[in-house]
Amino acid sequence: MQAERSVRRHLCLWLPDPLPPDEAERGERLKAPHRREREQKRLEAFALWCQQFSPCVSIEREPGERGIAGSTLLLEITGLGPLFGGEQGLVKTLSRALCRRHVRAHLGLANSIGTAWALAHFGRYPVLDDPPPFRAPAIALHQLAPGTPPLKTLAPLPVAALRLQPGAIESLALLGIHTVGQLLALPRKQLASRFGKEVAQSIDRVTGNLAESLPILPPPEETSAEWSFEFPTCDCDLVNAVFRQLVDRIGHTLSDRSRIPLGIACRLKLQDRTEVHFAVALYHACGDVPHLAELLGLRLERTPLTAPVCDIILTVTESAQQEYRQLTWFDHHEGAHSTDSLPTNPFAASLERCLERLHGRLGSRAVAQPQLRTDAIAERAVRFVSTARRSRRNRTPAIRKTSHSIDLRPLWLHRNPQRIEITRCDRDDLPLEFYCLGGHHTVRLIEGPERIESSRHTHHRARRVFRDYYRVETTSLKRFWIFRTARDWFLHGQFD
Amino acid sequence: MPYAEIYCRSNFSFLRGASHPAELVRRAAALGYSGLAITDENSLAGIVRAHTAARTAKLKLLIGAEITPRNAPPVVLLATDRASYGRLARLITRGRRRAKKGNCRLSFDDVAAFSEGLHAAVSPEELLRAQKNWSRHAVHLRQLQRYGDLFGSDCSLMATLHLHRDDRGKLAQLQALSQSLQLPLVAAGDVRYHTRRRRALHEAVTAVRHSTTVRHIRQHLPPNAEHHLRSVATIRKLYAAAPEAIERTLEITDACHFSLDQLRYEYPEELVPRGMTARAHLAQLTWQGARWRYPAGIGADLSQRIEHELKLISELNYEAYFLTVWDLVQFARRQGIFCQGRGSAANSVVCYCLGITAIDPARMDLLFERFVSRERNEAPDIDVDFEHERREEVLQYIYRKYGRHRVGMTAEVITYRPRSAIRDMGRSLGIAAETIDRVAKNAGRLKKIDIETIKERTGPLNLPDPLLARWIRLANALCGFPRHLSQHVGGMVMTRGRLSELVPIENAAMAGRTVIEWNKDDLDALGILKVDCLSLGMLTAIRKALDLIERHTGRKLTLASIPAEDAAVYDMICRAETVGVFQIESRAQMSMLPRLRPRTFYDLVIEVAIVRPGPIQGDMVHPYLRRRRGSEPVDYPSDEVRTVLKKTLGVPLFQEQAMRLAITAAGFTPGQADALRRAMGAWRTDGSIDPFRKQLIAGMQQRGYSPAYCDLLFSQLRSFGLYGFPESHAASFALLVYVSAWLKHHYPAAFTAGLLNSQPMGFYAPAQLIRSCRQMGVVVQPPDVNQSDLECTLEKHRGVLQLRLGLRMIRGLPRDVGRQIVDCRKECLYRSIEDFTRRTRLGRATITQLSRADAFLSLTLNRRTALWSALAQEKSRREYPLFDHELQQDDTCEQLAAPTDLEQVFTDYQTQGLSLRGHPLAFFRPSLGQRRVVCCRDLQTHPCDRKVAVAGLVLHRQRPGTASGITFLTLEDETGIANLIIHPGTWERFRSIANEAVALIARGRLERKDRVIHLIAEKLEELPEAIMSLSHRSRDFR
Repeated sequence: MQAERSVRRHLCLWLPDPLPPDEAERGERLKAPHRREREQKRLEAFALWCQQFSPCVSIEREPGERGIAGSTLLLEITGLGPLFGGEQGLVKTLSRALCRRHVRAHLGLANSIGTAWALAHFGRYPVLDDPPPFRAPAIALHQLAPGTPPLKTLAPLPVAALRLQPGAIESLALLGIHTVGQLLALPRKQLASRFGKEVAQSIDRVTGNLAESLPILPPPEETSAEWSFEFPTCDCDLVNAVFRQLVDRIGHTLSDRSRIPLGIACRLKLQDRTEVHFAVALYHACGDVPHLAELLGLRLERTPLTAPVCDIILTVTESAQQEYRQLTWFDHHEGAHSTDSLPTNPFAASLERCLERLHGRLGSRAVAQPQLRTDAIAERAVRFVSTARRSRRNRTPAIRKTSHSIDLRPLWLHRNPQRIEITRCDRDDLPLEFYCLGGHHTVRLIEGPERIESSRHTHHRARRVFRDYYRVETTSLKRFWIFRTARDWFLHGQFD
Repeated sequence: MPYAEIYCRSNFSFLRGASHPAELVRRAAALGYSGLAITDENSLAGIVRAHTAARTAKLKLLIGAEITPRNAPPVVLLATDRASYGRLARLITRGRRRAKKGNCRLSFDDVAAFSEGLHAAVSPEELLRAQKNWSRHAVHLRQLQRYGDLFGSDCSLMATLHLHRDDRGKLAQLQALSQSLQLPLVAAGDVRYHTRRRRALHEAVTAVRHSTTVRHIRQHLPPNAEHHLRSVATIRKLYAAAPEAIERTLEITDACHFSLDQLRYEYPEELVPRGMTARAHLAQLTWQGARWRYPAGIGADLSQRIEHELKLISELNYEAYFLTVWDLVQFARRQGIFCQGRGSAANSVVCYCLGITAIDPARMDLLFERFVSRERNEAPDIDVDFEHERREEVLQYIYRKYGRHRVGMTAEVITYRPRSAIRDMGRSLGIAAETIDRVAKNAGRLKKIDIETIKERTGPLNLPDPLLARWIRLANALCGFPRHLSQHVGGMVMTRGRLSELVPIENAAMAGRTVIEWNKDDLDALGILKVDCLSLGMLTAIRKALDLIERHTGRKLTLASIPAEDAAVYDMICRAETVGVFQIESRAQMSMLPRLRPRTFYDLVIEVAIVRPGPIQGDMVHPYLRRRRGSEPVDYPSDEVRTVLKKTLGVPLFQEQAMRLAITAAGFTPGQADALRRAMGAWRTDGSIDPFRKQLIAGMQQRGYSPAYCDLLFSQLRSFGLYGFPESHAASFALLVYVSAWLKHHYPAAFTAGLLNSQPMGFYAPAQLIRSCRQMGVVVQPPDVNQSDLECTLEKHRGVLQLRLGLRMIRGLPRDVGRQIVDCRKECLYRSIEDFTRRTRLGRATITQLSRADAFLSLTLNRRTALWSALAQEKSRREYPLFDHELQQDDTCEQLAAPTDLEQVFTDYQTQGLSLRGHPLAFFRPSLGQRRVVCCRDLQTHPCDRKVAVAGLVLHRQRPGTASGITFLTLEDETGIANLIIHPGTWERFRSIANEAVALIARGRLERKDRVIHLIAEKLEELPEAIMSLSHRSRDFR
């Protein structure tokens, strides 16, 4: 007795448009390679999201591959129908979820991957009867009922529906072969000698005569720890103590995988059935439990709670590989090795700890850092950048080396140059006496000019600058940095 | 105390300088400088322009260059005399010849080898930057000491001060360094532009050089605009603490007394046999040639004329030049390469006797002073056309004969045009690529980029207005800047001694070629002779046609033996059946032919000359045509004028006539008349014709001509500035016109084969040449692996010559593959694709290509069945010697449908650019008919001044400069061609279709005049998508 082949059901999602960016990504301008990387990550995240409909999700095609716009996912839904009220129920649930995410998709449902793919990309069936719940992109479904011979259905479709390489498709077009039906009419043996095994195998994949499998995306490993209070509490000390315990637990879990946490998300369930969410992020992966717990505590201080806390759930949002470092020359004793991924520069480590605390207490947008820019015009040479979006990759050092010596630049710079009054000058119109900062000064030495002139390439954003700078030492041994424009003199900095 | 600038870069330091040499010179003169050195990086390319400007501005120009050795700091080298200049040029040549085009590789030892007589100024900037790095400091110090040791008292240490942080401290350091190195300090500006306003452009081109944007380059740029030519007062103030540095600039200026005026050009000597002088040898060859050219005898007038020319040539020392050109022509003739002199050289009987030119100036009454005159003070210019496919043989002969050290090709300075300027400036400003592309495409042929026009054409650009304005301003400033040096089309310079002591030589991009750094204007300015070895496709085509005629008919013909004045040929010309005929195949010419109706050789001379901007704008065309038709009387204000203008019915058409009129009617000397002729060429740019106006009118009025006639004549002469033709040049071309027309009429198959085998050339694509040929009754056979050679050939079929297209007509088929196919079938023809594959050993890709081109028709395979078989062949052929004798049959496949006619024609166009089966438009005729579109042929009978619509493939787009923005467009359908006139407004409204469409529908009003039909287009529409995707490209001209 011949064993019947079991019927597997596959659902193909063709996403013809790029996936919409999330909130954080909007407004970023990236170069092409970074954009591609971001799109791939988005596709992966989307594929993981699809795992709520099927545990077996594969990325069949990344954006733009094989000359077709968009990307393609495959879900194996054999036996999953009953969980959603039938296959149609699953499709409807999926469609609604896609609509809510504003994702346009063509779905193909069939017994084989090949047929599902062909239907999703080239199927001509009408759109679903159910109108979408709100104004959203259309979802088209093309399906082949079980038992229907696939080749007959696919015959009118273009040969590209068989997932052939562009070269083969072009050659077939030159032979006047444009549809699957026309291709199937050709002698199979002769096809093989001209196009290799590819064409025959594509046909077999569609009929199911050739098994096909795709790598399934593994589900993400989530590391979290939970605590449920027997009695809901408002006691911050108690909550902080729980934070320490949970962080410790997470640390141990991660340590088994040789990883340490970089970011932790906290979810507090309150007695009034509301939830509070916040997260802490670190510059360097840190296995320092008290520090992490402290950061969570600092964050909690700023978070208003409307009711006592019932449950605490901590989840690791990002982690890093554990590094082993020898701290001492001779490792005779314990503690000679560190498992922290701390920077080797102790100053930097302390700075980052401090920044993390400040973020925690004041909020990340309240902390800014000076960043040097290459601009000869002094007041434009530095800007303050929020450290909120600092990432491991984009980190810039706090101080950058310049090629010029700094001894000819003042220690103190006035953000806005102040006009000064010249009370006496020499025949070259250089000041001999001037008044500024509430005092009268007599010039002892003057050096310069140093001419700083803005380029026309920056004029459109700021006013034109044309200044002759002088270093002035007065009889009271004060040193100033002043400049002259067409009409006036200004004080810009002080050397003392 | 005056000042001289010794360190200054022009824009011939490509993308490092932001001012033209002339701008720098004028500015320096205006500032009262004592002298200026143009010191471009490893180059003397801009020096002649500076020299010309300095002569006018009366400023002393120091000749030098900034040399950048790999293992030493940069050094400015200035030539003090002729010998040291020669060494400088040789030094640069050495560096450039070692490196790829555009690069230079020199070392300190190279500088040392050529240091004698040069003054050096070294820069200590690297040393100052390395102060904190002890070892680097020591290295730089040693390098500076080496320069000091090498140049001794002719070495200076440059002090460049630009109001940076601590100029005073820097100057003090430099003074100390100067003391310790025993090198006098010299003030130097490190000038990069002539005024501070050019700073923005300098920053932008620096960004281009670094392939980045100005934003990212900021750290490399100075903080101010002090790298310009500053006033003497400012410089004195800067160097107040070191006045000796300024004094040193004057010392250096006094020591450098070399000027380019000292360059003397010396022609090669080896052409003269031992024991003879160049003069005697030239005379001997000329008289020998005269006996050959005039077998009936040399009359007294002719003899006198020859003597006159020889005497003048001798007085001006041009004998060697003529002998050089004669030698080249002799070489070409020995190799069987067709060649012919053109241009003003055809005015010379000596050139005719030497066989350089083919027109008898005595018979044509041409003016020798147009070519050479005492007053001219300019070298003669002999241009010789060679067959374009074989010109390289002539060039390599020159290199072999004189040696690479004595020969170089003239340079061509490639400058920024609007499109390239927009692209580079856009990139430097960080503008998005797509926006740059849009604006660049719409800049089109704008002479000056105008922001309003750009906005109108491109639509919204998503750019702030100030940024757009800055972009356009920079692009306009960049237009005309040199971008790189290329090679001239054929100018060659040969010298007696080392050419590299006259001008630096560098490698060209093409292998085997070397190029000097100066272009033809530079050579003219210095009086350096060059020979123009040009190429002409028609000479190749004629030679190939004559070879085919001889091979297939036994009739041996040459350019000289083609029967003259054949009436049938002129009949064909008058009917404007001149597709493929030299010079008279363009649309404008074909419109003129039925009106002018040439019946003699001289009519052809006029035809060639009259369809030019000069006669058109000078309003000479219509009066000539009216007089020719007899509808206007021909009158002359005097006998002198009659003598000059009789040949052209009283209307001046040629430069020589203008000169003769000036001589006979206004009393000019021949030299003055030639100066007038040159002014006519320059009037558009510098108004230099105006001084002649007074002299001309005064002279004519003295001789009794009316003021009205004087004014009329002067305005006619002004239009000669727009390239009025020399009569000699027109005559040279007319000879080829006649020969090509004769061949077309009598041997259309051979003529067409000659044209096809010489592509690319001419006005028409192969499709139109073949169409014309078929219209004359020639049968054309497609390319085939069993029947075709590589080149197009003739076949005899029932006693009639047919044209067989060659394998070269298949797009993308390499020539060596074509030869291989022909070679492998010598024993027997191919019997199947498998047989073909086995014998030729060609891979699947090539066989597929041949199948697509339907080249297996002789195997009774259509292109699909052939392709089916081709795909079965192995990708790369393997050797199976044991099976070689077995004939395998091709697999067939009955399921493959035969291609439709439409598919056949479209695939023909894709693979060959033409189809012998039909025309693409024919398949759309029914749907076009529904849109009330008629055939091109129907325009002949369509009522005039009525609206009509016609459709076709776009063959040509042409917008001559004199047409006031009107575009002439030619369409082709299955019945013929249609000529459209598109006014600027219509063009703008339908810009995208007009500019880019492969095919279109034109609706408008029909105009017919003198059997010439035009459609004045009012609306342009697209055709169905299928035809828009046809693989076809138009040939567009200005």
